[in-house]
Amino acid sequence: MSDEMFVDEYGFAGRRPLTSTQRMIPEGDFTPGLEIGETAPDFALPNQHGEEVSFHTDRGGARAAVLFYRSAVW
Amino acid sequence: MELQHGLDQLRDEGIKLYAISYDDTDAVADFSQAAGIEFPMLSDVDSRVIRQYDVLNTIVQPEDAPFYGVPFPGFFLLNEDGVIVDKLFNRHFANREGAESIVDSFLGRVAPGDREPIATFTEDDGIEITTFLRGGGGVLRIGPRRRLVVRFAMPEGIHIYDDPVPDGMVAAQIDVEGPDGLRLEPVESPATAPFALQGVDAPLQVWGGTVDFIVPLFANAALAPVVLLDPEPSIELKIKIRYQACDENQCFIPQSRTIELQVPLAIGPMPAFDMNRNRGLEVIDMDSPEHMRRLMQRQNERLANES
Repeated sequence: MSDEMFVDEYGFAGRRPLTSTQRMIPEGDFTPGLEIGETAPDFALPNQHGEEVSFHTDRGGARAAVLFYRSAVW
Repeated sequence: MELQHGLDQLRDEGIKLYAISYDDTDAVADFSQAAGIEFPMLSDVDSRVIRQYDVLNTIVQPEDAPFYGVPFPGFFLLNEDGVIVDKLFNRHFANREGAESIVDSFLGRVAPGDREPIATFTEDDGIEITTFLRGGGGVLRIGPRRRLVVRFAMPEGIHIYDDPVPDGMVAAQIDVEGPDGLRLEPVESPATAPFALQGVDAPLQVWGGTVDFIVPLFANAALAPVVLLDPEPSIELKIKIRYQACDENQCFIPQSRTIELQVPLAIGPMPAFDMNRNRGLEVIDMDSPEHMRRLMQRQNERLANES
C-alpha cells in the first residue's frame, strides 16, 4: 500500500481515498439522531470492566452527556 | 477521543459522561487503561443503541467492513429527567466538539477553563476586552472544533454598535487571522438590544454589559508539519477589533486594536498502528492490530449471516 495521504475539503488527511464511504462528509441538511425534547431511550450495555450498565438507573437524576464515537481502536 | 480536558468542569457540575461505540469490551478495556479514562465506555458491538438513538452512519454500506455500524459522532445532552436538551453533531467526523461544549451548553455561557490562552486589556473608555481560546486545556489539537471568544465587559451606561450605523460611526467588528491550516467560521454575535440615539430616527442595535463574540475554528492537516517539526509548536492568532463606544449623551472616538494570542498546537494521540508510529506521532499504548483482527472477524461473521 502506498504512503499517499488523501486530503478532503476540510483539510483533513487520511490513508483511505475520499471515495471510501467512511470518509464521506454528509451533505445537505445534517441533523442526525433523536430530536431535542424526546426522552432518551433506556438501554443496558457492558462497560470497560465487563459490568452491565443500565443507563437511566446508573445516571440516577443527574444531567448527562452521551457521546457516540466511531472507535477506540482505529 | 480526547476528552481529558473539560472533564473537571463536568465533574464540578455533576454532569455524567457516557461514551458508546461498536468496539468490544476488550478493546475499550485496553483503551480506557491506556488513556486513563474513568467514565463509562460502553460496548455496543451490534450497534443496537447506535440505531436506537438514530445516529447510525448510513453513508457507510453493510459491505464496507470493518466500518459498517459506526455512528455519526456527537453528543446528546440530557437534563435531570433524561430528556434530550441539546445535540452536538458536526458534519465532519474529525471536527468534533470538545467536553467544554457540554458544560457551555448546560450553563448557557462560555467560561474560560484552566490554561486556556488568554489576553485581557482595558481601554480608556473603561471597556475590558478579554480574548481566550475555549477548550482543549489550552492546546489546539488538529481536528476538534474549538471557539475563540472575544469578551467585551462594558461599564454601566456604555454600549457598542452593530451594523447598520449612521455615517461616521463605527460598528463593532472582529477579524481573525491565522496561519494556513487554521480554518475560521463566521463570527457568532450575541443578541443586541434596541437603543434610541438622539437625532437618529430608527433605533440602533447595541450591545451593553458583558457580551461574548465567538469565532469557531479548527486546525487541519496543513498544520501537522508545524507539530512534527517544531519542538514547541504553536501558532499565532491575530485578532483585529474595531468598535466605537457611546454613552447616553455622546460617542467616544472609535477604537482599533490588534491582539496577538499565542496558542500551543498538538496532534492528539493516534490509534496504535505502525503507520502512525512511523510518522513520529504519539500513539495510544494498546494493541490496536489485535483488536482490529477481532473487529474484522465480527464483521465477516455479520456478512456471512446476512448472505
